[in-house]
Amino acid sequence: MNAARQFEQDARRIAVDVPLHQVLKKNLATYQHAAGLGRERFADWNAARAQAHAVKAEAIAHLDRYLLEFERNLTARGGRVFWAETAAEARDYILALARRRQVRQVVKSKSMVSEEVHLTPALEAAGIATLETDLGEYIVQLRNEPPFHIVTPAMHLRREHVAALFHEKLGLPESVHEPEALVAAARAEMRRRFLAAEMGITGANFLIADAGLVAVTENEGNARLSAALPRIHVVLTGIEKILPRLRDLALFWPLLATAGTGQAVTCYNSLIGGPRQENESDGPEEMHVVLLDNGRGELAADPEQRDILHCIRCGACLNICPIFETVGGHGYGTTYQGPIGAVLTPHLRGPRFAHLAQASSLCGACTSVCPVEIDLHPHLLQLRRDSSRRRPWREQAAFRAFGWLAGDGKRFEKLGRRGRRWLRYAQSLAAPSSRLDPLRPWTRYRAAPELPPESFRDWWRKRKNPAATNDAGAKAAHS
Amino acid sequence: MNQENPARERILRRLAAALKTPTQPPWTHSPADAARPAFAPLTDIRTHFRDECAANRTELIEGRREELVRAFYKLLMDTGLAPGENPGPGAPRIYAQKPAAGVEAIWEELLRPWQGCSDGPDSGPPDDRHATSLTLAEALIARTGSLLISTAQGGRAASVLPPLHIVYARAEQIVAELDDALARLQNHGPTPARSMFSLITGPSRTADIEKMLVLGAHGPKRLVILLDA
Repeated sequence: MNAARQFEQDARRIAVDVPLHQVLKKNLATYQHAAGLGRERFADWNAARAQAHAVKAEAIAHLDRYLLEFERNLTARGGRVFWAETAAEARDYILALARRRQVRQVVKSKSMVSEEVHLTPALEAAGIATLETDLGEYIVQLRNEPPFHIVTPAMHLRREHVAALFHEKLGLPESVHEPEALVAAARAEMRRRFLAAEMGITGANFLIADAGLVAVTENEGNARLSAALPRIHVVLTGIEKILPRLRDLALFWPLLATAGTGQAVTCYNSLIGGPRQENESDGPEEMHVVLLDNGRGELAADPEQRDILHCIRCGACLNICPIFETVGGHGYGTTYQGPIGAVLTPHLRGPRFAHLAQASSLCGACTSVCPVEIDLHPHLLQLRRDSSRRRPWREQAAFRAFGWLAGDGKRFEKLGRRGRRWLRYAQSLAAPSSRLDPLRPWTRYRAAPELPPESFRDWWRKRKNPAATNDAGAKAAHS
Repeated sequence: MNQENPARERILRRLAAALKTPTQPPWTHSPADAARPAFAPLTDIRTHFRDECAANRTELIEGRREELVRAFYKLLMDTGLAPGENPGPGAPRIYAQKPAAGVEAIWEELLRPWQGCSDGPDSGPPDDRHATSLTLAEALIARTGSLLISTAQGGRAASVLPPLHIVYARAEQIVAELDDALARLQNHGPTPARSMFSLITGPSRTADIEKMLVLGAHGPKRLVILLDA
């Protein structure tokens, strides 16, 4: 099935999943409350957004130069940088490294890029046990499903789901439902695996050019453990994560936390710039940074939509999006969900995901909350424009004809008169939304509007010229 | 290296070509906004630090040296780390980073009850038996109630592996803003020599189950700052 059909089918099912919508609504409301309080900590949230926009615009405008600066400064401390043009190259590099170093167990902290390149299934297929250690990721991994949300992977689950899962997979008593107890059980299980793993894989939130450091933002401590305990640390991330200067983080750390969860800053913000140094007591023997292009370079070549590369993956646009709330994260069928997923995925995976631009009411809520001021809904509109150019010639011709008819007052009036007549006839054929109703694709989910007896134009003429009342009224009754 | 990684040149070439065309003006961005300050300046740094610690669940103990020594002893007693009581091989242990110049005296005072005991403090790489760790910090940040540590403070694992992390710091280590702390890392040039730093803001936490806050996800369940006033 093609991606657009799949989306339609899944969306239709998920939109009426009442239990899912109850938990989603509660989680989204909790987020909105916290994020609102978080924004108040700023003297001027919009000033912060505009400053962040300017920094990211500069970083992306000179991306090649900053990446080289980052590489130079990181390799000076003994870190290694591998550049991957495609998902397969990134996967193969990490897989070959793991094999070469006899890695049998991997601990992973959250990385959406690793989801993008399908790293975990590749490692598992090679016989390397790979554990997701972010609690939300751990839960969805045990359930064998993709993350529901780029920041909150298990947003769609209640504690009862988690309790049942841990009972089945970890042998926890069925009665354990309290989040504290569930977290403690997961912690104990994962701690064992942390101490045994030979390789830790993390993502990166920012790559700091002038300091040669990778910045990782988290709350749980699993990324810190991944970078501290195993003998190899691998960072897998996209080339667009560059920030020019270390001090830019004084803005971006609070900005990301506020937009992501409503926190002032998250619990842990780490800076990692290489393996263990000579004067250090612990840390990995090797550190590798895999920089993934995978379509990002081509996106940079689009001067209209280049600012999609500014994204810091905070999830704010998902949390406010009425479509996300309706079809959920799994409805999109993509690694990145919500408005950012809708604009990014066609660039990463091609025009077969262009239908996601239709998964929007163009209300602009996403644009209004984006902490780096990405023009999200204008980009959705541009993507619609682009995909309209790829439609069959008949459809394009029909719309051109409609454009011609609607572009002139007289022609439009005739079109309206005929249209009303046709609609009245169609409505007379069967009960609204019944199987025989020719308008069923519309009436199935919506009440059909009652057709007015006359057009606005007729009504207006009549109002201006009462003498014409009878004439116009008679005409309208027949139309 | 470039022969092993031909994609590098291709990616860089593609970017260089792509970025020759300037970005089209954005729809919604207004550059004038960026001129205004994003944060209001802090008036009382010490009070702000205290309030932020309370908000992020950092346990802040302020006092003179002897008060801090007593508080430290009580903390370790409450954690089941009474001196001489845990001699077995699998018993919980104390980790303490090697004291840096200038704090040898306070380190000796804090750890005196355990000196000479077989369960006395370790300073090698910590492991899962360590129930608590005692470290220093690079700086404390008032804006967010955070502390900044580097690998100089006992390496990477010491401040994240044990369930209780205790930090000894002096009041003059408090800076107002994140920017002040980050600038300090670049005092000796733009690229710091250490391989890892962490900004720590409260004990480890997760809200992945129904957005309910639970402390002690993977890192410490408790974070205590002994602040020498």
